[in-house]
Formats: sequence, structure tokens, C-alpha cells
Amino acid sequence: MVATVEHTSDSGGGGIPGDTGFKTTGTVEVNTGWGNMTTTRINTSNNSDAACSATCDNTDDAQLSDYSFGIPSGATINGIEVVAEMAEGGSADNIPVGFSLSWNDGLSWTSVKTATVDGTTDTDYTLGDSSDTWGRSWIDTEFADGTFRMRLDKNPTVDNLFVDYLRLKVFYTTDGGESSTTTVAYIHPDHLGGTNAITDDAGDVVQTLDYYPYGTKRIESGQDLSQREYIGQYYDEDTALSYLNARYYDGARGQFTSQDPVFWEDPLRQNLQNPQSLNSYSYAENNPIVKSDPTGRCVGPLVAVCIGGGVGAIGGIANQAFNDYLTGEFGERSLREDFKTYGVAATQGAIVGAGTAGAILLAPVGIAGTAIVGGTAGTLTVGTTYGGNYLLNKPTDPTNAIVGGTVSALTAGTLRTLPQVVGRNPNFGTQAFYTGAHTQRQATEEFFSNSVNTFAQTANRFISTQNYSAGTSNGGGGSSSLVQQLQSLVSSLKGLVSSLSSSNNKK
Amino acid sequence: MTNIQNIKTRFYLDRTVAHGTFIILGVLLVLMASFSLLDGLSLRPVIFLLVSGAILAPFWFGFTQGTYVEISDKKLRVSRMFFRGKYTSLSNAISIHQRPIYGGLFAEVYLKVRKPDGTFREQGLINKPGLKEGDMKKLLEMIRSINPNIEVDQDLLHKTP
Repeated sequence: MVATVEHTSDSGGGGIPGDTGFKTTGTVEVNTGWGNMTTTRINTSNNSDAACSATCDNTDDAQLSDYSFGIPSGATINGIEVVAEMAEGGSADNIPVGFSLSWNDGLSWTSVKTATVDGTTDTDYTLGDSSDTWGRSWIDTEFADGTFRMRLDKNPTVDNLFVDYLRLKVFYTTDGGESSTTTVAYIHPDHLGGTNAITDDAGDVVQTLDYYPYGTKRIESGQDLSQREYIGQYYDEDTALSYLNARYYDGARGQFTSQDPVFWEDPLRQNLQNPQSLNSYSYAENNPIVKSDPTGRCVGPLVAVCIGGGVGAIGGIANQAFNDYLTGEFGERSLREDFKTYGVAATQGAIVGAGTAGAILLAPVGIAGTAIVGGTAGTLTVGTTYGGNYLLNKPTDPTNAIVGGTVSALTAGTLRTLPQVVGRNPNFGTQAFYTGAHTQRQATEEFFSNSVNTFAQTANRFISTQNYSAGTSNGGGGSSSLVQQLQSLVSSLKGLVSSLSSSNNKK
Repeated sequence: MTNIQNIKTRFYLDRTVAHGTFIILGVLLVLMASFSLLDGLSLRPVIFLLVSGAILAPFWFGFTQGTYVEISDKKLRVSRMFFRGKYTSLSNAISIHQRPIYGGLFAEVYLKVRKPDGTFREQGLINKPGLKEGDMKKLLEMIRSINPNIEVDQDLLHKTP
């Protein structure tokens, strides 16, 4: 009697048959590979698991098949299913064939599941299913090559058994599955926010990634855990493209696969002074290693407030000095009075400057934001004028305070509405700040700011002088009415606008 | 699963910036008041500080409590000092950009919105330093979760040192 176990393909052409439909839908994932299956026929007549020689004899009555599956780390094993296409090779009926699984290279085995083969026609026999773990709890690492093994046994005393193919599937769920387990992983980004290394909750590196400048992978090792890869964006494994929100990016080409929408949407956003930005397919202006972030955070928010306060303090001292120059009061005061007067003036200016800078930071954008900035500046100017004079025990001219507050409000508010130069934001400390476009804008803003401030100082002093000519010291009604003063203000503003227009036209 | 589009969310200003600004103002006010003490002790600095504090208190309250970006029912609205702006439908928004203001010291983040006549308008959102970076990202993510077709300025998404 010949007792053999054969392992051939379904078509008889040798090799391993393809997937014939073990997949399921939903969250359950199925390992569809037969990968690396090796088969060894053994002789068990002498109770030995030793492999038979190259010429196996008829006493071979068992087969060991090693498998290797790439089960994701942390996956929950839900079931293992074995399908064997078998047929009798002779006249014997109801041949019992036992199947068992090992998780440690044959040292230990699960309980045996038995299929009873009947008939000479090839028939699929299924053992286990998607929820059958063969009586034990499996872990993902037990399915590696050299560890996981299936054993097929038949009674050597019965007739031939033909096994056309053996298929084995592992059903498991990963995170998001119905019976998933949660694992903690920490993503360590590179300087561009791309996934560089992933560690588990024990601090061990489980995945390492590194990229060439334009995004192709230089190093990819360990488990494939992260969906976000180059610059922290989703990477599509199927197409090898990075999904950069508006467009797909091909790291191998260093270009986007489609045009930048700005090129067919808003030509005004194109920066003609930066030729690199004019390539509608280019990535990061072809400077992917050092990609600056013009965030507008050139200085810290509170540092900006302090700078505003410092500038305001200098302005307050200058304003007081100019006032003393007109009135000649400086020489009439004692040193202590001068110290007090200038101290109050400096802090007045500092409060207005710091408060206005703070309002710029905090006020959301738009016309309302502009109004809030202007209103804050005006309120602080009026308030500190009254407060300063109160502390100095001096009367306050309401007209003077209101005009000062109005000018201050207009100055702070108007600067915000200046037309902007298209292009990237300036960035202190980098060459980008000194591009022609930004230099022009900076010059325009400084010119406008200085002009308005000069005008404000002049108008304020003009009003004060009128008041003094009427014999009122730093307050009281003057000979010039409020209407006349405002007319003068409007006239001066017209002249300023005219000069600005001619300046812009020259550019 | 939570439907993020139905969550009414407000993105407030960075309280650190708001509080810090007013602390600096407070220190300056105390410094200003202290100069009057050169003439000897009096109630003037106290009265001055009380009045000044009373003036600044509404500003502080308005900035910290009444200034925020609000997203509700796929629409966005900006509130400034309790003054609420109009709702902007995010389905009409096509892109989010930033631009420098005040010589580039700050950056203004704004939405570009398509008007019914096909032209565009700009809807300001926030000054970038006024919002925490984390909140800024959440704000952008929420906007994009409602309208995934919105193009976001890459400089807003990726900050490098």
C-alpha cells in the first residue's frame, strides 16, 4: 500500500495556486498571501519528525508546511482557516486527515482538526474559519517565517491521498476594526514636519523614514505604521504620490502633478519678482530643504508690544521737548519738575504705543478691526492726555486732547489699510526681507507713517500755538475755533494725499 | 462618529498675548502714576490708576471674551469686542491666505470667498500672532473638514524654524 501526500497546484502545473476568494469585506482584513511556504514530507513511522531524504519513500505519511505572513504589529488574530483540496487515491473510503498548527516551529501544536476525505474527485475541505483560533490566543509575531507551521497527518495504513493544494488564511483586525486593540505610537518629525521615526510606548523605534530633498524615500524600515510621511502629509502607497491638500505631489519628479490653482485663478497673487514662483508645477520654489516660513512672527507678540511702548516713549519725550521749545517752559521748571514732566510724557507715549501694538495683535482683521485699533489708539491718547495733565496738576484743553486722539486714531488705523505688495511675507534675518518688493513696501509704509506723524505733530503744535497766543497755557479756549482747526487739518491731509499720489505714480 | 460640521466652535485669542499686553499697560500706568509722587504723597496716582483701570477694563474684557472666530453650521463669523460680523458660508470659500501687515511685523490670515456674481472678496479671520499655533491649525482643519476643496496657503500649514 502506498501512502503518499502530494502537494501540487490545482491545475497540476506545479506551484502555489492563487487567491480563490477568501477575502471578506468590512473592517476585517485578510492576509491573502501564501508567502514563502515550504513543504517538507516526513516519515513518522519511526516517530521522528526528521525530514526524509531526497527520495522519500512510501512511508511518508505527514507533511509540514511552513508559512510566513506579514501580520501588522498589534493586530488581533480573529481566526485561521485552512482549505485543502483533496481526493482519495485509491479504493479506501473516508480517509481521516488531521490538521494542526504550530506557533513555535513544531515544538507545540494546536489540537488536531480532522477532515474525512471521501471520493476520488478533488474536493475542498475547510477547517477553521474567520473566528476560529484553533483553541488558543495568537499574537502577530507567531506568523513569521520559521515559526508558524501547519502539519497534515494521515493514517499511513490507508490508501493514497492526493492533496492538490493547501490554502491557509489568517483573519485579523487592526486599529479601527470591530475587535481592534489600540496601540500607542509616537511620531518624531523632521525639520519639515515629515515623519522621521516612530516609537512605541516602550520607546523602541518601530519605523524609520527619511527622504531625499524632494520627497522620495531614502530610508524606509520597520513596520508601515504612518500614513503621513513626507512633510507630514498623506502618502498614497498605490500611486506613490503625496497628497498635499490642493494637489498631488510626485516626489520622484519633484513636481506637482497638476498646476497651481493660482495660475488660473488670481494672477494678482503671482509674484513677478520671484521667477521661481512662476513655475506652476514646481514645489517649494525648488528649495525644499530650507523652506522658510514667513509667518509674520518676526518678533514675539509681547516683544512687539514692548517695541511699540519703546517707540511711544521716545515719541512722548520728543513731543514734550517740542512743546517746551515752543513755550520755553523747560527753563522755568525745576529739575525735579522736568523729571516728572518728561517721565509722565514718556509713559504717556509708551502706553499709547504699547496699547496700540496690543490692539493690532488682538483685533481681528477687517474694517472693524481697523476701527478697534484706531479707537484704542485714540482712546489711549485722550485718556493719557487727561491723566498726564491730572498727574501734573495742569488743566487739559479738550480740543487739544480730541484732535490729538483723532490724529492718533487715524495714524494707527490708516497704516493697517495700506495696500500690500504681493508676494511672500518678509522675514527678518533672511534675504527674503530685502527683496525689491518688500523694500518698496517697507519704504512706502515708513514714508506714510512718518508723514502722518509729522503732520500730526505739526497740527498739534499749531493748535497749541494758537492757544498760547491767546494767553492760555496748555489749555483753555484759543482764538482759533474748532471748526477752523479742523479745516486746517483737512487741508493738510489733502496735501499729504496729493504728495503720496505723486510719489506712487513715480514708482 | 461625531459630525464635526455640526459643532459650534469658537476660537478665542491667545489669552497669553491678551493678558501680557494689559499687564505691560498696567506696569506703564503705575510707572506714570509714580511720577506724581515726586511732589509728595497724594491721592492723585490712586485716582489716576482707578480711572485708567476703569477705562482699560472694557478693552481687556472685550479682547479676551468677545473676540473670536466662530464656526457654526458650515458658516464662519468673526466677533470683535462683542461686535459680531456677518456669517460667511464656507462652501463659498475657495482659499485661505496670509499677508503681512504693518511692515511684516504681523500676518493677517484671510479667506478668499467667491461672491454670487463670480467675483471674489476677502474675509479676514485673525492676525496670526493673536491665535495660538495649535488653535490656528485646528481652525484650518475645521474649515477644511467642512469644505475640503479650500486651498490653504502652504506657509500656514507648515511652519519651519
